[in-house]
Amino acid sequence: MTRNNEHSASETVRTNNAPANMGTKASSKFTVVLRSIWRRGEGKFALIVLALWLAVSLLSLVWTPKSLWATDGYHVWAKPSAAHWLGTDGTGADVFSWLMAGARTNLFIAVLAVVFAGALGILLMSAMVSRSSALSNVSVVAVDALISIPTVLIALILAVPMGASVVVIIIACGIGYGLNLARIARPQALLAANSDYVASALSYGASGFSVIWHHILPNAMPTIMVQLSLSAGTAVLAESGLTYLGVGVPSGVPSWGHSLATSVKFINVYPLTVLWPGLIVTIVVVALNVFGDVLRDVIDPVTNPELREV
Amino acid sequence: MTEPQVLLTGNGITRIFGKGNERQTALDDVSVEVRAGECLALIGGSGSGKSTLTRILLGLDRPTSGTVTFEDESVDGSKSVGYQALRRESSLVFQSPFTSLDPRWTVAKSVAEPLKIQHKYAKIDGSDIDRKVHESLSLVGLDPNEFLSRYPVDLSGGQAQRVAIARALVTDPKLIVADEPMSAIDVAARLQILKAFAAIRKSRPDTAIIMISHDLGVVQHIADRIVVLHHGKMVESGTTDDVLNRPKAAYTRELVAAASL
Amino acid sequence: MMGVDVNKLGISIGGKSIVRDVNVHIGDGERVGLIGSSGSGKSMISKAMLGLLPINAQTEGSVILGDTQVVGADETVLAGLRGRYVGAVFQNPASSLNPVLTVGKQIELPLKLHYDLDKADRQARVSAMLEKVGLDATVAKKYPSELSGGQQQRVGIATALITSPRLIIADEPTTALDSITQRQIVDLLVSLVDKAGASMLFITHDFSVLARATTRCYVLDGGRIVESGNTADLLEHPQGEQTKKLVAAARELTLQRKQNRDD
Repeated sequence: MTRNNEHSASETVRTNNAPANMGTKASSKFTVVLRSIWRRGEGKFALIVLALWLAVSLLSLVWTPKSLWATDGYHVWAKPSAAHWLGTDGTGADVFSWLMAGARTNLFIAVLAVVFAGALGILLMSAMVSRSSALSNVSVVAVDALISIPTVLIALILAVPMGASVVVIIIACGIGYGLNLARIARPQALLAANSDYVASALSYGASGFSVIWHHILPNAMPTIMVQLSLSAGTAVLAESGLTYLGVGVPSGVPSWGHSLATSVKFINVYPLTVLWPGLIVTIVVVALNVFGDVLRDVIDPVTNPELREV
Repeated sequence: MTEPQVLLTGNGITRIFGKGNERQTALDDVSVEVRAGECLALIGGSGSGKSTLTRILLGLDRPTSGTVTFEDESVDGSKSVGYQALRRESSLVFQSPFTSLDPRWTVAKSVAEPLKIQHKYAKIDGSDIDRKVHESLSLVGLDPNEFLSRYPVDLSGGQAQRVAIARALVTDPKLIVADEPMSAIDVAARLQILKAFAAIRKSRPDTAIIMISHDLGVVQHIADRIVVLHHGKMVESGTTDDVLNRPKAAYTRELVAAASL
Repeated sequence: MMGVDVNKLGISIGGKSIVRDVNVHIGDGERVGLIGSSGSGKSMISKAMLGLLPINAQTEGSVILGDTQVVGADETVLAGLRGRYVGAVFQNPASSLNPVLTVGKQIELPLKLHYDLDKADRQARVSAMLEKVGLDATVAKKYPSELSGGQQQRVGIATALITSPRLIIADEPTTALDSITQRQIVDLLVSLVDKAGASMLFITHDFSVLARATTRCYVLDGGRIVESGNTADLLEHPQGEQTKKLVAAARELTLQRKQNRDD
């Protein structure tokens, strides 16, 4: 059976002779998801931006047009030129090189914040829908109480013992977004937890853990993925904000927030140096939001008929 | 010929919900008995107590008074021997197939689930699981090659319910409890469900089936005995022939009329 | 006068055809059935009659109620038609009744919308309507959740009939009910519709219900009408594949008692 490339047609067509071999399943599911994202205009945009982000981050580890520490005292706040593609900052350092190197810090922060938030969120979500009423009651109250603490406040408190550090951003974002994730994924998880298929699994002797892992998590996954993509975007924004407040990335470490913070005081005189990091942050955040939205439709076998044919 | 062994009994089951003025008697002194290999139909309208009785017989709820035994062992709380045996040896078919199948699981995965869970307790070979899944699907009239890789969204109501029945069947249980398995399904597809149950009775002569329904027409071809519940009381109990052709209680006569054209 | 003429009706959603080339005629005061299994498109036809199709649905052909063309009609025209000339009874009374309104308020609402009556007059009509559908006057003060499924559907019927519409569209009104209640609701609908001299379109997947509710019917399969005629005749001599299947199911699930002389 050849793969059907038309969306509308593949919905009505039922493949009766699905491949019996399960060996290539994992990899082909991944390709189907990628292909489905690529096929949508906004998905294409998101994939390109995210791929560029990753590529630039890796490249910056081995090469930047100018050394980060090469300052040119005669050319501070220079306009874009052949020597300095995006101009220079107040110390005469190359803006383009700093933004390239900043990409990897932001990627690092976004990825770790998302991993941390995902782990915490899924743990709390599972506790909230647990069949032990004590655990679920306590966790619901705890999440509701803790969620009222702003992420910025968490970061400010953490910065007291830790000082300005990448770790502060990651932990603060991880806690804040993890709590949010748990609360947002809970209704979906609850729906699955109270379903007949979970009742059926329990009746066959499935453990609470197995039910959460095999039934509840997959059913809440589309919601979780969207929320995590949004969180990655918010983490990029938070990095800029916290760095500006002085509790984020310490000076000397390249990041988009750092580039913004050092130039924002001179926005009236040299607007271009603020524009570049601002533009990059905006594009990346939009791409992440779009990515989450597309991903929700695409990774769910219920809404993506192609995934059901793998 | 010797009588088949008694599998499940409920003796003098009474269930009262609430306290004081809010007291509601859901079941009033109901006794039932299910023997190996027989099909017992529990008939009643909404509020008749048939769901409460089912939950109690399965050990999922405790009666206010009365006892439940499974294979002569008392079913009384999740630690009891009878309860443990009942969990292992019984399976459930729910009313709506679309809420009883995980929408994100393939048919193959759903049907294999009970075996995989039990696999942890008793060693079952992987190829054995495959074989049993194939067998169960074929028995309910679904071609495994066609259906194994499908998801519930791509199934009709009748097909999805038969998948749920295959899942209930796959562990070779001694008892299958079907809770209104046809009321959420198109009339035309109900025949397929009936056929599936008939096939189970033929190929697994020792498996007992409790079928819960509000409609005598649905159970007439499949049930050996019928118990009629009304407002928590057992108003009639007897062989299918007796209940359908010589109904004694007024409520049963009403049911008979409703199931006739 | 309120006949219905559906001519060459076609409905498609997102390029996928749901209903094709459907012709249905309901005469004044006639009870007509539309039967088919789920996915056959029968609910889409009733939605088209009420002008309640999803926004992304594309329609062709015409649906004429009395002398109004419903397909492509303005929302104000449709709103005037719905409730006043056309009443609808839905499948699931638990979800088609508003859980936060008392039964009395619920039945009164269509009257408020379509007629200029004072409060006492409206309440008198609500009480009379409750009696007609076999409910006690005290039910007016109750909320839907306090009623049984059968009582809820009686409220649904009262709400649909309170404005004396000329056409009742009943979309699987008994599917969610147990068999005894099912029969009572069908008999109630038939007697009320006949007494009012209204017409009815009754949608179901069950021939045994259809036989009690209608005199003539259309069989729908895969979005097309495959057979039509007198309901009793169709039940006796089904022609098409789908009709035979539905009739066989109805027969199989109907009690065949020894006292009965089965043919």
